[in-house]
Amino acid sequence: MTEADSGQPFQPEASGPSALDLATSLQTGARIQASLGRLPAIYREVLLLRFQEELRLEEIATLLGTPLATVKSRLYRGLEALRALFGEETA
Amino acid sequence: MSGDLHVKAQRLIAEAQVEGISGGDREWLDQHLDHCPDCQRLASATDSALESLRSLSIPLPPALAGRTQLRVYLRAREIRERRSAGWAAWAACGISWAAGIASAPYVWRGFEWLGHQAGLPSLLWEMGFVLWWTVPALVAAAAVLLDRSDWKGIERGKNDVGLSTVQREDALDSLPHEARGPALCG
Repeated sequence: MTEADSGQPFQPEASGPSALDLATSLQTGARIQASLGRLPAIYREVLLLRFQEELRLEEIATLLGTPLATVKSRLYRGLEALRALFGEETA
Repeated sequence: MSGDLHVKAQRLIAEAQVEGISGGDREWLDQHLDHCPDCQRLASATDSALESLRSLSIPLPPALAGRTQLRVYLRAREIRERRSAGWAAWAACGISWAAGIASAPYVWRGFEWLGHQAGLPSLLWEMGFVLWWTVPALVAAAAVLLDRSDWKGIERGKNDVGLSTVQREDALDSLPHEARGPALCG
C-alpha cells in the first residue's frame, strides 16, 4: 500500500533526535548554564567536579585543598541553589 | 511529625545524589515519594537539573581543568597498574602452588633429615614442615597489606594531586602539554 493509498501524511523515518528534541536540549543547556552562572564560584566548581567530571568527594577535596566536610557542605548548598535557580529559569 | 518526614525525604534526595544512600533509605524514600507529590516534584527537579548538568560540556576554570585532567589520568593509570599487579599475584600463586606440590616430598625429606640431625622429636619437625607452607601465604598477606597502605597514602593525598614529587613529575612528563594546566606548570 502506498502513502497516497493510506491517506497518511508522509513521515520520514527518524534517524536521531528530532528538531524539537534538539531545540529543547539547547534550551535546557542554556538554562542550566544561566543557573550555573548565577551560582557563587565555590559552589559551581564542586558541582562541575562532582556531576560533570564525576570525581569522588575525596578527590575533589584533594584537588581543591579543602577538607572533605567543606566539599560536602558546598555540594549540598550548591545543589539546593542550583535546583532553585534552574526552577526559576524553567518557570 | 509529618514535617519531619518531608525534611528527611529532602535530605535523602540530596544525599542520594551527593554521597549515595543505603538500600533501606532508598526504599523509605521511594515509598515516601509515591505518596508525596511535593517531595516528588523536588526529586524530579533535582534529577532534571543534574541530568542537564551531566549532558552538557561546561568548561572548568583553566587552573582547575589542568588539575582535574591530571587526576583523572592518574586514576586510570593506577587502575591499570593495579590490574596488572593483580594478574602477577595470581600467576605467582599458581606457580607457588605447583612448585609446592612438586617439591613436597623433597621438603618432607629435608625436614626429616634436619629433625634427625638435631635430635628433635618427630612431632616438632612435622609441625615445622606444616608451618613451612604458611610462608607463601604470609608473604602474600604482607604484600596485600603493603599495597593497601600505599593506596590509602595516595588517596589521602601527599600533595595537591595526591602524589609524591617524583610520581607527579613522572606523570606530568607523560601528559600532553595542553592537559597540564597553568596550576601544574607553575
